[in-house]
Formats: sequence, structure tokens, C-alpha cells
Amino acid sequence: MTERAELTEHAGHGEPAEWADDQLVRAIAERDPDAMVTLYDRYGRLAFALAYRILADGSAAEEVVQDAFLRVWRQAAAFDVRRGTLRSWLMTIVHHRAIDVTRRRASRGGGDVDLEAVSYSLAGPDVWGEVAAGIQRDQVRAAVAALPPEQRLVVELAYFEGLTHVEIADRTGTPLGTVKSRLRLGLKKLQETLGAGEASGTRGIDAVTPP
Amino acid sequence: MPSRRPDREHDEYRDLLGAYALWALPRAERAAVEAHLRVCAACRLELVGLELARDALPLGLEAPRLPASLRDRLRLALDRELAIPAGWAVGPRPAGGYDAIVVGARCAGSPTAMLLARRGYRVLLLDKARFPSDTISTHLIQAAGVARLARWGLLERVAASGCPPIPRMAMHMAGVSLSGTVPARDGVAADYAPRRTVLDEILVDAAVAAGAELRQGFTVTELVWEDGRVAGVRGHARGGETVTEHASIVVGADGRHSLVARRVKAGVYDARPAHTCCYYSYWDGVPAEAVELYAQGERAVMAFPTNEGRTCILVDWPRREFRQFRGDVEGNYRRTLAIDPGLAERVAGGRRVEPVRGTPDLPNFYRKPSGPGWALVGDAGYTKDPVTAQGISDAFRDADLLAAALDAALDGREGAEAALARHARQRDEASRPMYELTNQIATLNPEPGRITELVHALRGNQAETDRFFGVLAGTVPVSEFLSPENLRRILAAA
Repeated sequence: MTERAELTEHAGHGEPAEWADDQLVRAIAERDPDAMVTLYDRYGRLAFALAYRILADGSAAEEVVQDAFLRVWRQAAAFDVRRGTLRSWLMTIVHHRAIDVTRRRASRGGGDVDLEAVSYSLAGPDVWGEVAAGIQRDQVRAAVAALPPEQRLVVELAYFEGLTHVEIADRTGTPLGTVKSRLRLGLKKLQETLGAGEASGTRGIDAVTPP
Repeated sequence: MPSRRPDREHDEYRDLLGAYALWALPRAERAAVEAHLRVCAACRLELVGLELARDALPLGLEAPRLPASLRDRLRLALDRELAIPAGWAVGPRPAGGYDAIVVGARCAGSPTAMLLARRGYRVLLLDKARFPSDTISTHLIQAAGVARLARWGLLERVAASGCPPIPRMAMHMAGVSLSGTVPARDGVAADYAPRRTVLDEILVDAAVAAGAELRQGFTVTELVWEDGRVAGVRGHARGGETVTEHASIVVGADGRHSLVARRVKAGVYDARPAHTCCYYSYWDGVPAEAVELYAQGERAVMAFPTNEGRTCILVDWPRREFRQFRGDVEGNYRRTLAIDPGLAERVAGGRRVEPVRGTPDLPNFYRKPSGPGWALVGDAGYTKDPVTAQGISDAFRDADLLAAALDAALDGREGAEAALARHARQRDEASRPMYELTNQIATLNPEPGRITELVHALRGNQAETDRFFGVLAGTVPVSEFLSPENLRRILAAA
């Protein structure tokens, strides 16, 4: 098939499983289902774990995950790799969809979160493969357990309950400025404990292409 | 907002990176952080690390095994997607253009624009008027519509405008007086009746806050056609030059005389003759705590509280008596309020504070709501007599249904034709029973019949009286309440 031949040229050589995320997203934009399934194999577990944590319901989480991957499939052509990583975009969609489902359940604000907030993260080079490969579940748990409780709380309220910084400040009775810095310091601490800091640091600031 | 000094600005944005990575920023702040990230390599680098940490967190969570069947289902869904042919109903997004252009920014247009913009679409919202802007209206938002305002996060603003919730209804007709409380739906059990200067501005603001681009004082004069499909609009700001804008779909939310509907020649169906003419004004010193409904002879009156502690009072006459009514608008309006002695007495103690306004232009019809590159929402697609005051809540429901269909169509999740056909079906199914009832009530026929019989049977039956009012409020399905079994039950209990 000619289309397929062109696609391979666009996306790079070899099997999709060996492609980097930005090659995958280009192939997905050109409607290559194998590339899509590869993406699923790479991040399906991560997406499902997050959706399940937010929803506490296996079948609802499955639906959210399938929805999120289909959204990537349909909008991949509009995705600009210079603006952020594919993983971050996918996880943003999973997060928003799952939070949206919980709000619909509580029958307030249904549909309002939806995908309004899916903006790309404007990130730099991704070192997910290097970081994730070396991380074990127990390591993550230990890293979370090592967080100061007040940092852990705000991270969890944002991540798993979909609260904004203002809502977190209200709920915890903490000044907004403190919430902001706890969110940042909490993630930074996790990053350091997990060794992700070194990994991204090795690329150096110069390697981060402006979007 | 962070200050202008570059170093301080950098520090303040860097402080927000954790909240940014964890999706904990409202839209405006998020956009500001993104603007900073575009020019700050150090923050971009820090963000990469924070996002890595964020995405590592789920790896530590307790979750069931990812079911193998999910992979197969995804595969199947992809095959289905690949089999969907390109549709005619929604065009590709034109370069530099919009996903949707919404013509008309009132009760149907602004919510449609808001819901699409909240889903991430690029929306242009146009209206001839500049807001705040008044328009002829029944004012009443039935409880079903209020429930939508609540879901959209706008009820607080409406309530804060000072128009009170109206949980009660009272009806005086055929020698019977009934009063009751509207049953709740989605936790809402009250109507509201804000001035349109208040409501429309809240709706327009919400569309803009969601990211829609608003042009007020903008008149659409023509549609743009390409390949047999509507591809945009032409129009001008007041005194401005004619401009052309392109979009995947043009939504006509421009009322019962919709220019969009006329230009696309949208087919009309199920039209009924106009029944009434309706006139209203606002009163000081005539407090009302319920939606009050009066019917006597061939006249009907509705009264309810609105903003500024005032009461809005509407009168309905048969359309065929319009010439006579127009002969003395103020006198006829005033004399009609004698329909009920209690109301007449209250009005005598109050003061009318604005001119009497209204219209004999009250048709009843459906229009086919979509075609190649266009869709209709609200009165543009479905118009009915105001006697049951369903217009605003119908417009809200239609906006919800159309926005969901357009989302599926624009996003490619579903074939555009199928999605828009579903909107048409859902709209008609949801509105048909009330359309029939409205047309029946709008005849203002005082002869004994099914309705007078029902009203008599409801005396002393509070539960069913409440449900009867719930039908008007949209919290009890018409077809359920007016089903032969239910009517038999009510008549038997009387």
C-alpha cells in the first residue's frame, strides 16, 4: 500500500514499538492503528492506574481510558510535538475525563471540565522511558511516603480530586501562596527521590527547544 | 496577576509550575503560565521534571490488572473509525477560521457557544445587539432550565442578580384555585424570572469566559457557501466594513425569523396557526411570591417576581382580537388584569413602572435543524406560543443537545450526519408533548374540556397538583402526567 510506504517514511523505520513518542504521534495522525496500539501498550497501564484511582471503579476507568486514547487518535493531527510530550497530553485527557465523570456522578458541573483544559504542557525533551523503566511500584510508594504530609495532601487533592489551587486553599484553610509552593515542592521532592531530576538535568537547558 | 518586572515575574510563574503540572490552575492563569513558558527555558526545563514526577505517581497505585479485552476493544474502535467516511454535515476547520460560528448570543446562542468553547473548540459568537440588551420575553426560566443553569455553574450569578427563586405556582381558572410547590429535579425546585438585560449578559459573559470570541453590534448579512455547503458568514460591525469569517459549521441561534434558517431554506414542519398576542409590563408594589396563572373567558394572565423587587405581569389575548387590542394597548392591558378580583385589588395598590410591550408575532413551528455546514438552535429551530413560558428552558435544553452533537461531529467521534440527526430526534422527542399541550392551552378556549375537567379533579389532591405544576416547570414529564392511566387515576380519585 502506497499510503503505508509513505507513512513509514514519515514516521521512521522499524517497528512502531521501537519508535519514540513523537514518531508515534505522527504515525497516529496519519491514521496508523498499529502506532495507536503501540501507544496503548506503552501508557495504557499508567492511564488505567490514574483513572482507577480517581474513579474507584474498574469499568468506568476502562471507559475513560478508551475514550482518552480515541481522543488522541482523532486529534493527533493537531498535536504539536514542540508544545509538549505526548504522554503529558494523554495523561491530561485521562485526568480531565475521569474528574469529569466523578463530577457528573455528583451531578454537579457535568461536562464542564471535559476537555476545556487540555492544553499541551509546553514541556521539553522527554526522558520518560529512561525514568519509568527503572522505577518500581515500591519505590514510588516510598517516595510518596517520604513527602512531608502537607505536601502530599495538596498533591493528592489536585491530582486525584481535580481541585484547583484556590479550592485546595479553601478546603485546607491554607493561604493560596502556600498551596502553590507546596504543589511545586511536593512534585520536586518526588522527582528528586525517584531520580528523575538527574535524568532530565542531563539534557541541559540548551537542549530545550523553544515552542 | 504577576507584576511586570521580569525577575519577579519569573519567580511568580515558577511558583505556579506545580499547580500547572497538576492541572490545578483556572483557565486564565494557565494561559498566563503558558505564555511565560514560551519565553522561559528554565521554567520549561523545570516543568519537564515536575511532569515526570506527576506521571510516575500512578505507578505506585494499587490498581487491578489492565484487562486484556480493553486492548481488543480499542483495536475494534479504531477499525470502526477508519471505516467512517468523511461527512457532509461538518466541513474541515478552515485555516485561520473557527470550528463554529454562532449567530445570535441570547438564550440559545450563548450557551451553545459556551458549551463548545468549554470543550475546547474555537468559537465565534455574533449578535446584532450590544449587551446588556433587552428583548421581548416571557422571562420565566422553568425549573428544568434552572437546573441546567446550575449544571453550567451560572445559577449563582442569576440568583445574585436579585431575582428571587419561585418555588410555588398558583392557578385560577374555571372557578377553581389551585396552588402548590414544584417537585424538584436535579435538586432544583424553583423557577426564576430575571430581566433579560440581566440574564442575557450573564450568558454572554459565560460564553466569553469559556473562551468564545464575541463580537457585539455585529450584523450577519449573508452566508458563505462552498461546494454546496455553508462555510461561513459575511457581515459587519455597526458602521464597519463587510468582513467574511469561515467555520466548519454555522449555528443559527437568531430567533424565530432566523436569517440562517431563511438562507438555507430550512424546511418547516408541524406548523400551527398563531393563537395569541402577548403583552406585559413591570410593577412596583404588587408583590408576588409564586408564578400566578389566571384564565377567564378568552383571556389569560401570568404574574411573577423579577429583579429589583418588581413583578412582571403578562396578558394573553386571542390573536384574532389583535386589532382591537392594539386600538388601546395600555387600556386593554390594564382592563385584562381585572380577570381576578384579588389580582385587581393588588394592582390597584401598585404602580406600573415601564411601558407595556409585547407582540402579536407568535407562530408555532418546527424547522429541520441541520444540513450541510449549518445547524439551528433555540427559537430558530423550534418556536411556540409563550402561554406556557417554555421558550428559555427549551433553548437551554436545545443548546445542551446541539453542543453534544456538534462535539461528536467536530471531533470525528461520530459521523457528523448521525450526530446531527440524533440532535434533531432528541429535540423533537423532548419537546413534542409540551408542544401539543402548549398549542391546546394557547387556544384560550374557555369551553369545558379535558383541561377544565382535570383542574376540577385536582382540587384537594395536593400531590397531583404539585405534579401538574411540575409539568409546566419541566420537572415532571408531560407524557407521564397526561397519560390516560394517570388521568383516569386522578379523575377517579376526585
